Amino acid sequence: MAERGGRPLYQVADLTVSFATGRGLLQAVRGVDLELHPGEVVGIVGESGSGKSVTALALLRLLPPHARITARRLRFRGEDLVTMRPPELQRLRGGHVGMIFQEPAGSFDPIYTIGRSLAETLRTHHPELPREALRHRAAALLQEVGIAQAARRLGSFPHQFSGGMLQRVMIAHALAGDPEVLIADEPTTALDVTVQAQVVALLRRLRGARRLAILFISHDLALIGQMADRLVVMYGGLVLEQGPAAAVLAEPRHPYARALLDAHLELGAHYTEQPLRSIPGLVPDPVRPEPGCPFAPRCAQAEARCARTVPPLVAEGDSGMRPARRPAAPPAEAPILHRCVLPGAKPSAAEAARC
Amino acid sequence: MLTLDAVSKRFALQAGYFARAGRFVNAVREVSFRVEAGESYGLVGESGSGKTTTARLAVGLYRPDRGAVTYRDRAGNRYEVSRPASRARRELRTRLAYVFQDPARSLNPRMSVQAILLAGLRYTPRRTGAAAARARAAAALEAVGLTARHLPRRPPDFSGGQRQRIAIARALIVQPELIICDEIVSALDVSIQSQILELLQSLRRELSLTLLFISHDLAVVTYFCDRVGVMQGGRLVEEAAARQLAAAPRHRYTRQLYAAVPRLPGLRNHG
Repeated sequence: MAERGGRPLYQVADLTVSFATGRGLLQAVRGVDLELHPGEVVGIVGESGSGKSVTALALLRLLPPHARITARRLRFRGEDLVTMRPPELQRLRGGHVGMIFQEPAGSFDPIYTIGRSLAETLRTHHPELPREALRHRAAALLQEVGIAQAARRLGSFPHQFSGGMLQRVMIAHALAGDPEVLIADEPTTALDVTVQAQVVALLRRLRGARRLAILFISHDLALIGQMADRLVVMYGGLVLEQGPAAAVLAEPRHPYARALLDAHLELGAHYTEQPLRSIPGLVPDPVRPEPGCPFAPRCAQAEARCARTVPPLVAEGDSGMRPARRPAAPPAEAPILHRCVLPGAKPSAAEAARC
Repeated sequence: MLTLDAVSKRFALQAGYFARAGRFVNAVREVSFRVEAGESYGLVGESGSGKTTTARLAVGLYRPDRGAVTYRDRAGNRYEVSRPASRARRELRTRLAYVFQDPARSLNPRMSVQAILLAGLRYTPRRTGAAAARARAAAALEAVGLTARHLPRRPPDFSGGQRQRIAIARALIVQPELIICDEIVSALDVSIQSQILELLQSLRRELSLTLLFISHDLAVVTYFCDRVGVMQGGRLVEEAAARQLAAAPRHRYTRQLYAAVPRLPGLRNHG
């Protein structure tokens, strides 16, 4: 467990992201609150379409220009990302914050050697360094991410690496700017389980050695459970539950978190002994989200009030924001954290920053 | 039912006019196993272990360099899958069906669901009229939890899980005895994975299907199958009853796969 001292690196409150489409406004993210502290691993778990990747891209302002972003707060180390100018954004992306993506093979230019592309990344962060030093650093980075004979492999092309090795090279790229934060968006989804275990071990080691804060995004709860100090459960563009990973996994409060946990197939189970616990139905349409809890149409425990509002998140200790235990009402003294679901509950236009 | 007897397949590493001759990769080496009628047989291994090549050999999409693949259908007819006569090839199309890994790539985005489903029927001996074919397409869609309403739609209108249902319907429409499922849940979210596995399990019961189920996910394979073969480097290195394999893997490689499966920390065993 990371100590949560000091100022948070990321402070996000009521982040919304929408896109204009032919069918109407696609509301990918509908009010996300998030904090990331130095040295901490936060896992975002959710299905495709839950808004987890869009949230990650918003943290780097990497969304396409037609994306509409609003937030009550969107800050990195106290600086407002909404008003940040391009040169500062450039220092943020890859400098303070590194990012790795799902498909390593698609992220490399096949006609450049690994050494050349890595040197180019390094040069953007250290324009003062001579070529020889860049090459040296590139080799050191490859070695750090566990590639044997690093100096020799600088001359290899992307197609000469396996998927797992290429993901290591991508991590080396992300580390080139000596970031404080690493955003990993489904970094192992395209990999075999054995290679996945190696990449997770590498991320853990880097986190310790470099005191990296990591935002780890995945649809696999078991995988995230191995990495994360805190867990954020997203669905339908909303955070349905967040809290210490151990607590959320041991006792998920929101029925969706419970259902995700139950859907996990533990090694050793067999169809003759236990039925699968799948989640029936489909993720909601992001163009016309219904009011209320987005999971309600698929939820076996849905009540009448779920159609009107999301179970409110209640602050718990210093790191949890979890739905209250059912059926007990939230304790009176705990502040109920504002959720942006019903049209009337939206922050005023003046509050909502635009970019 | 389906028997692979010491099947080997190698591919030339380089292709084309200027390729250097004599460099090969041995994708599958001397693989033998039997899938019994009504059984669900799993193949598990990493990328490059030869699972997909084996599956393709099993349906006759590739010809083996050595060894033979034979299939005995419910009526007792015996087919040489590896070297079929042209009539047998047609008949085999109604016995064996194949579902591919990535529904985003295996379904033509410009074809309607109906055209996709009926394309498979065109090359089978049981040809039917247009109205009957449409009825069969509707029935196949209903069997996988979609409806006839979806027939005129195109693949991009559907989610990943729904597309995989369409791919399964395409396999069902020829009324096969054996379906080969090649990593059919790997591209899907965990919650959708179990929906598809549930669907397959119930189809298997209702239609007494035999399944050859391929996946890199040990937890999924040992859950879903009756017997499991473990592949590494083109060879079958271990074969055991699924529950036995999950309880006590023998081969060193199986144990490695086993250790790599992420587990929920200190959690109850589901039940």
